[in-house]
Amino acid sequence: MSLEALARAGRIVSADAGDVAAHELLERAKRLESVALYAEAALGSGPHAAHVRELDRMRRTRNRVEYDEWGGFGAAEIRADLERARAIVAAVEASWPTSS
Amino acid sequence: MRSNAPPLLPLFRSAAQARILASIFLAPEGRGQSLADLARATGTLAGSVHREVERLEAAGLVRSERIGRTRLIQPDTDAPIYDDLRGLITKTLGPAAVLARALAGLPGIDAAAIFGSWAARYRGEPGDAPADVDLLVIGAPDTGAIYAACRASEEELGRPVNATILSHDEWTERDSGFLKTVARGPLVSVVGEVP
Repeated sequence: MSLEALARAGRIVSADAGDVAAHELLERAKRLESVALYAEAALGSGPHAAHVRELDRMRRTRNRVEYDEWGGFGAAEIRADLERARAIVAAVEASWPTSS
Repeated sequence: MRSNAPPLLPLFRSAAQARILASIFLAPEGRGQSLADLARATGTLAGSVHREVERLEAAGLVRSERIGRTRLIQPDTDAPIYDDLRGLITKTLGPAAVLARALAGLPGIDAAAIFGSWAARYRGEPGDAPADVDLLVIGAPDTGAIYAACRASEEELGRPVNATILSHDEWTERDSGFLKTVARGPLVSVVGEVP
């Protein structure tokens, strides 16, 4: 189930909710980790520092949901974080060097 | 060996002593508290509060002011160790007070409480020192404002603050193991009372 679908359904995701199969979570985590590392490097500090802070918080939430019994989040958080993630992706894309 | 020391800061002789110090040092600046206030706030007998306050005043850590028949207690901000002691108390026993200040006035919060390892240690359950503070917020607040308040508190508390924001329905339905675990475990109120 995608995060968007979860948000629409208003479901809570947690480490033991069984909403997403473990292997799927792991694969998604690996992809997210790579994207996060690239985004952090691309955005750095300065005007994009807020994006980096948000990214770090989202990554922390993801880690807690996956590994910590105290991790979870609500549908409103998912919806708001999807918007933040889109803004981060847009900022990363805007920072890519254009070929001439 | 039996110990009554507070798990979050076992440098103190007893949990009651730590609670009294926390209540005095974490009160809004300039707001003195009577012995009765302190007894109520800390769940400690008035006689014990009186004895602790006498010791703290003799040591130059707090000062008293009499208004009519009431003795109001405040931290002595001129004490050489005031900043250090306040920092120690804030970082260990202060998360609920610091977060209450940070969340005050934010619209959409029905209730908020700390759960997880910090709440467990605060309630006297032994265990490892909490690495972070887990905050549960119930209602429909602006998520960005909650995260900003958590970030502002992190610096003062010296450890990450992780917020979980749930609607009233999500909390009452508790359709995940995580939420059931939170509801079963200790909660320390920050805003209102969690239903």
